[in-house]
Amino acid sequence: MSTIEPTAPPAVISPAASLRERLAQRDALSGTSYYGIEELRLKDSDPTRYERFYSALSVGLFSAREVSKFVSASPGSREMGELLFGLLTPEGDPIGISQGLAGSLASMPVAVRWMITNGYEDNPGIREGDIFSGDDPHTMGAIHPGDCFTYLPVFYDGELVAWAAGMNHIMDVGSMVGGSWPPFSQDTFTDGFVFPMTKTGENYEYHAWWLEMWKRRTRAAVFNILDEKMRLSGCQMIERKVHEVVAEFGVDYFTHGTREIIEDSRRAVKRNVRALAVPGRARNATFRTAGYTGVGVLFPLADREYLIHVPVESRVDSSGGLLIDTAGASPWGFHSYNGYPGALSGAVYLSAMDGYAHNTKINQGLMEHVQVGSDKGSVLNADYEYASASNPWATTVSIICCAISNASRGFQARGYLEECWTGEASWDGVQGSGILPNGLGWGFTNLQYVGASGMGAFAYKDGLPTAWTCWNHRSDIGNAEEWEYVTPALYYIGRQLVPEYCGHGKYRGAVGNSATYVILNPGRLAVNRGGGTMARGAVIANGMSGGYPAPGVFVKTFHDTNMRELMKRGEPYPNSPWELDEFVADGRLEVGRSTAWKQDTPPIEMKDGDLYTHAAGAGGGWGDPLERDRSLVLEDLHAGWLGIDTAREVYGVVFSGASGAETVDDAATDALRTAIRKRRLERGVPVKDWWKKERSRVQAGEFIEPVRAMHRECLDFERYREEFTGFWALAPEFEYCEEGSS
Amino acid sequence: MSDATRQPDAFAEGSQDVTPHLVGRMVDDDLSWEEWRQLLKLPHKDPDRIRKYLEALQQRVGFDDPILLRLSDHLYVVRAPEGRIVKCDCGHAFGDYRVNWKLAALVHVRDTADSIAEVYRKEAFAPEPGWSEVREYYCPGCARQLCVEVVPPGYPPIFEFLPDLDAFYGEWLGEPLADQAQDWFEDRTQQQTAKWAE
Repeated sequence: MSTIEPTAPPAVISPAASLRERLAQRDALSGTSYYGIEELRLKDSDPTRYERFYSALSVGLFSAREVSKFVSASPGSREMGELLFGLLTPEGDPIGISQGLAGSLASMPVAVRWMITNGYEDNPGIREGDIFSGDDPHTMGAIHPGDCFTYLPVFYDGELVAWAAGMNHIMDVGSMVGGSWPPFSQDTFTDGFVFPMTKTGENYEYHAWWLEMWKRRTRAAVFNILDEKMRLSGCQMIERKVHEVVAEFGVDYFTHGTREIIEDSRRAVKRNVRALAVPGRARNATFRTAGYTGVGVLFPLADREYLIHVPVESRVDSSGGLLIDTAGASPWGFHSYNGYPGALSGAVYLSAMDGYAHNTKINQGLMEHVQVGSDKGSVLNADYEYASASNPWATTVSIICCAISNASRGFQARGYLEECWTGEASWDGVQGSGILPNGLGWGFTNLQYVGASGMGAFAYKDGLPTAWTCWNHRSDIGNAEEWEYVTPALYYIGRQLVPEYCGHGKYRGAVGNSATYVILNPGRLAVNRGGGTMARGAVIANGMSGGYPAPGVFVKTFHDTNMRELMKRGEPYPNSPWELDEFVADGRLEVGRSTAWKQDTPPIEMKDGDLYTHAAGAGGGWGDPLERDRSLVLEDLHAGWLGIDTAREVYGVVFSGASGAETVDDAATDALRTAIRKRRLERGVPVKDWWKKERSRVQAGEFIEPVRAMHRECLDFERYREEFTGFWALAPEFEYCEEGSS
Repeated sequence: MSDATRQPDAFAEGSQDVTPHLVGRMVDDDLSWEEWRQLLKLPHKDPDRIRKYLEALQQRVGFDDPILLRLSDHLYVVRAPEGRIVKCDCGHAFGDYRVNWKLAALVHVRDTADSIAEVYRKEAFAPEPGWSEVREYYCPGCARQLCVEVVPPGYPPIFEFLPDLDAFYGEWLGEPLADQAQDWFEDRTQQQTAKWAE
């Protein structure tokens, strides 16, 4: 074993100290720097060794991810990489993470801190080979209970030197509504199998009772147990790698080196903010609907429509500090979309990773520098310990997008146009539960459009479809065949990009994607959806430079159809949302009844021959559509992404020639674009005039009730009150009374 | 311009020197994807980009007031005789940059299903009237669409970017602006609407 370098600082506290004492020490020393580190002595004295040290740990994390998912995993992890591994300090600070669901690094310190501050060292004890699991958003930082975490304390010569952590998104969480992001949940008691940090095994083996819990408390026991084993095998790989590294470098080097790595990253992120941003503030917002009207038969407290407001302000101070603040957001409610600080932090740090941590190691250093703000009692910082947190990701993904767009304001201001884009990413997941004809009860989540969303437009090119997610570096929608065996009653009849489904602009966002299924031999089946912003609103509110924000998600179902006959006769059948509409319109598809949703669906019973289609992943545009290169509009026409009417009315481009062989009519295009600009000047109203008219409406509260309720409830928070009453020149104490009250 | 007909820049041949010429072409949106990629892959951004950038922008706008910062594709904070104001590149002045420039724009609000359908083309995904309205902000001078926001009725227009110019120039670039003062980094939007209410 090698010894510590003479240049390394002395240990601050005895390794024999309790974790509680070590955590207190860590917090006391951290502030302007991590753990009080003033100099990067190990790095500066021998940078090659330092980087080799980090690389060894990083390789261990990447290997854990890539290998463990083939040891044992559900398709969500194996096919699509919905998992993450991390290495943490004894106090719970991430030193490094694998690729994957990177935002979950923000959950990890919450869990370890919770164990430390709640006396887990004494009871149930923390010993070598112990396995701890958790998925409770309130206590251990999981974004939602669908994200399950496993922690393994890593000992060396009897000393706890680190934690190995693994997480993934499971296939069913045992909630009242089947799936892993139940869209309908009144409180934590309808969120499913929610458990705080629990010692679930010893000597590297799960307790038998723990596996029985998965069998009895969720509907996807086989997959969820496979995932448990995957997380444990990955954690054990990390443990083995740490043992190798400590054997080579020594415990002291490991302890100080890992702290330096974190401080090194903190400094890099700060440098990047100063290099890329502009001091000041940038703002955006997102709005999320939740249609709970009608649930009052069982849940009277939840029986209403919600419009959830989340503003996102990115504030850069003169020192290079960055605060991403959601002050003024709606209060928590009796719905699925609340979250706790772990969820909000996960979103914020994903945006900061994208913007300011591209050239450094991803770890606690990012979280040391970037600060997260929220109002206590708000939808992402609920102060009711039993608030549901079954699907806060529905809102937090839009927060990521808002913060990315905010960052792009700084990039554009400084001339780094190559980094500028409108960060939009909507997502959707079909999920549900039922009983198969053979009597097997099951629950499922299809994660395909969580695996890959579309990109918003860049300042210089269109957004790519089905290309990325901001929450997973390894974006993939998975093979259709893989999903079909996980969801045995749902058969793909189409996976298609969706024409017209984008935010328009000089550069348009990605056209979104869709999946269409026929339901065959379902037994009893109820399907719902978990996902991001629905089409009642846009994904984010404020577009970039005149581009239109991306439209949200939509769902359609078709019941009592003749699909069985079409298939039997070998006739064509529809394979996209618009084809479905066409087939229904011209009678090729006979439909008894259908539903269309721009808000979350409740569980919908699906029977043999029924059809389900959904679309997500549209990107927002950048720039005035009238500035779009007309040849790009022609390309879009020929590719089928836009129709002639859209080209003319949105982009002001006129074509001539036969269908399929159109060319741009330049003269007519010039004339039309001039006419559209003239029309804008004619119909555009001076904002002062609009303000006066709108102010009267605002004073009278002439909105639909969900909008009025949103304003009324947000006024409880100082930031919104100041902004709302100040802008509309209302009395500071202005209030809306509740519906039906005077 | 297609990649085949574009004159290659030195940058495109392997140099990492982000020249003023390259920055000018970037501002003109005339880089090949390969060139954008190389800019994306720079290990460290060229810290003097802002100077080359402001020079290139200044050459391309229709006014002489010095640009202090770009706010969006067509809007800039400039130093005008009356102070730091927002200008469109057509030359239209929006007033004090501390007031949300949207207050000096034209706005067209789409709040019916038909008007929303003109831009969100299918009912299936069009934002729903009552819940959302689509606000398009136009430049009164050149009719460019400067911003679109999709928000619930009654939501104050989003003040998308308020830079702290004195911190940027004085503390980050080391070139304090001659007119630096304590009150430049303030949101004065509400002062404007308070006047409207009088």
